[in-house]
Amino acid sequence: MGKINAYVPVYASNQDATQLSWQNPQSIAKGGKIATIGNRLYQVEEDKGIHVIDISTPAAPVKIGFIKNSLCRELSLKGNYIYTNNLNDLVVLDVTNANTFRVSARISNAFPDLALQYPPVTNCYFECADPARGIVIEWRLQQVDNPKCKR
Amino acid sequence: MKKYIFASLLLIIIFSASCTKDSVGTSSNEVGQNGSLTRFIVVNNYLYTINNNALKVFDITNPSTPVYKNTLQVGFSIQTILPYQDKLFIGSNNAMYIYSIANPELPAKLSETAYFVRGHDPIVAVDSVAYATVRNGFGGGGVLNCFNIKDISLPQNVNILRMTDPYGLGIKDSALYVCEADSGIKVFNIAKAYIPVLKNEIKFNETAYDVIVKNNILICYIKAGVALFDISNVYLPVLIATVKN
Repeated sequence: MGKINAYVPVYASNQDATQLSWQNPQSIAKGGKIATIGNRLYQVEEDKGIHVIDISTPAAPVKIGFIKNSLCRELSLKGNYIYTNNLNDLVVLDVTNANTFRVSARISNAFPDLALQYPPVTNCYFECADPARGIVIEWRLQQVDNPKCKR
Repeated sequence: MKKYIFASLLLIIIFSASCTKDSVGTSSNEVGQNGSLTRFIVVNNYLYTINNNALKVFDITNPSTPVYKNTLQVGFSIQTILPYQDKLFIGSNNAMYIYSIANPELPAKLSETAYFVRGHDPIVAVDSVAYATVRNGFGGGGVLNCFNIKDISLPQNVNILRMTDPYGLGIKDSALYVCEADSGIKVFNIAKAYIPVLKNEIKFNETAYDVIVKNNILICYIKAGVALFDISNVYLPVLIATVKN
């Protein structure tokens, strides 16, 4: 087969992948679902985290920060709390204090099918994921010599 | 009718005077607004989540510390969840499920309606219609379904409109907004609830996926980020800002 385009897993350690953190505003590359409460608008950055946007002046929205959150896909809001997924866990983020947050709860393995064990498309070749190397947090399409897995 | 391949998703919205809640500031018990593509939804003291085949219930009476309550098997290829009054509407690739949450910890199935089961006489009633979009899997259009849900145990699909590439939707007063990906946003007049009339097409060089109506602002999830429209005139959204890059 030789070199062909195939998906290659990007790994993170369990510690990195379960560590959420507040960061400076990030660029929106693969924007995802949105949710809003009060003057805040949140947009998922697929698999990467949550953009935090101030819309108190709707004509002049301002990105105020980014919550790094591996495999983030979903979010919902109540009061000062964000309910979201981190990997396939349910996590609750307390955003009472501006420009930061803390994780107030985690329920492990609440969403088993949110794990990234396979590439984002079917009918493709990929480098088989090796759990010993960590948690898959992304798949990148690149040239691979004789990829072993197909799905 | 031509056979569709439901490789994509369903979205639903109920039209009712009581369903839009304007929010100002953030009180501790205020519930946020999600777009129609969401798989997580908060209803009062409960968080409901869906995955491919199941509905999960978490008690968030203490919002900082959810307590897992139940998992219910719903169907296959579940895509979206929408709360309405004491009901949950759950959309899959080929059916709409309605659950009662009169007992919020243990939702009970009220009905299951496959698509393209045509109903009979369209009845206009502003508080008993659900709109759902279904997009074909292989880039070939889709439809907007209008369901009569007066009898919640027997929803009837009373009107089907062809669409270009439909995704999420939202409602403000008598305006229905349907995202059409590269074709922008279509605005329908739904004064006659079962007979949406196309009023406007907003093409703004972005790929539109979903909307949230927030007072006089339409927040649109676009491929590049977010776009905000002033909808003081509900049929004439005016682009006021984008958040990109």
